[in-house]
Amino acid sequence: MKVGGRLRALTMAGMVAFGIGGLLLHIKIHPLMNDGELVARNLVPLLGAACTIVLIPLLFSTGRHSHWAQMLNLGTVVAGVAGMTKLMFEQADGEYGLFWFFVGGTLADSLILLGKGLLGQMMFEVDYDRLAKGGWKDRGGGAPWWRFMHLPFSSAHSAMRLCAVLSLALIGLGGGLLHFKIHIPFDPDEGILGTYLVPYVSMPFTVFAVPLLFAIRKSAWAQLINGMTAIVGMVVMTHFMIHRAGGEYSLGWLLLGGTLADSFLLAGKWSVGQMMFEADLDRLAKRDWDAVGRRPKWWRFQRLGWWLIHLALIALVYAVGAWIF
Amino acid sequence: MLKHIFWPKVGWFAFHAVVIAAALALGALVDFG
Repeated sequence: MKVGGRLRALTMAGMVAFGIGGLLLHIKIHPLMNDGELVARNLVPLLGAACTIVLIPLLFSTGRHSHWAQMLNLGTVVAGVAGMTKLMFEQADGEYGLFWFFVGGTLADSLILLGKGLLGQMMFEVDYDRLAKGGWKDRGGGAPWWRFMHLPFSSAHSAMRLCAVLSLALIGLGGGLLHFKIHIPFDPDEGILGTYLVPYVSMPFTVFAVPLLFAIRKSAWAQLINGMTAIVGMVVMTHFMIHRAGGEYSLGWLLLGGTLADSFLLAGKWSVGQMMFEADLDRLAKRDWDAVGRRPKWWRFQRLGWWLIHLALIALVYAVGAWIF
Repeated sequence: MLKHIFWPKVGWFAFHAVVIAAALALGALVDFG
């Protein structure tokens, strides 16, 4: 498989996006200082986010240190899931139930964190063959200690596919559960609230359709749905955030008062899908693009610029609908 | 088959008209109360 710089760039961008999103979410939920005193254990997520934003992308950037990057990435995932689950049990106060497990606790955040771990695993699998061939395989030495992280698939491509499918299903499920925590689309007085139905309508797509389409190699369709749900989520959540501000805007509102963190997580989700799509594009390119006399397929254009233009235009059209009509 | 429907003929414009209408409608209908 071609070791594309695009896959590397997408991994790094995704890590930065997940890191910033997670950092903002943690600061929003538990600030570092409480009544003028430093809460030491609240430093842990800040440390993890710093690794995810700076160190892990840097280590992935070279292509020669991906095992260290993924080791560190796994560390942040294990620490995060363990710490958040501990917090969840502390806060339950002995009262456990289905609501506590799925909605009241930190299950959603843990699922998204696991999805981030799998993003790093995708890049590690891309680099694994090269690390192995230039290293211990050629030198005839024993397997290195980090070989345990490698998934036993016949190709990096298959391993990536499993990671992408799992990652997107987990992130979709986690994102869906997060919405349950914030708003349910029903009010005893007003009945069904159409506005708050939006994430629940997109949930079956992101939890089932997108991973399924990636699994059966319909990556272009999968990424189209994945990216569009991310765009709709960002646009509508930003509208929500502006509505909630009530005209009082500040830096604090932008960073912590709204849904910026969630938009960053959606950007991370987009990069997971885009990475799998671009990996498949490399494979399909050989078969379709290079064939003389073939017209390019529609999904050829579904790249970074295409996405940015669609994000901007969909936001613009949505804004016209929201403020003029 | 898809390229014949979508690129860049009547189908392409029709498809984008539907998408634009959907985005406009979403913006107009969303009401956070």
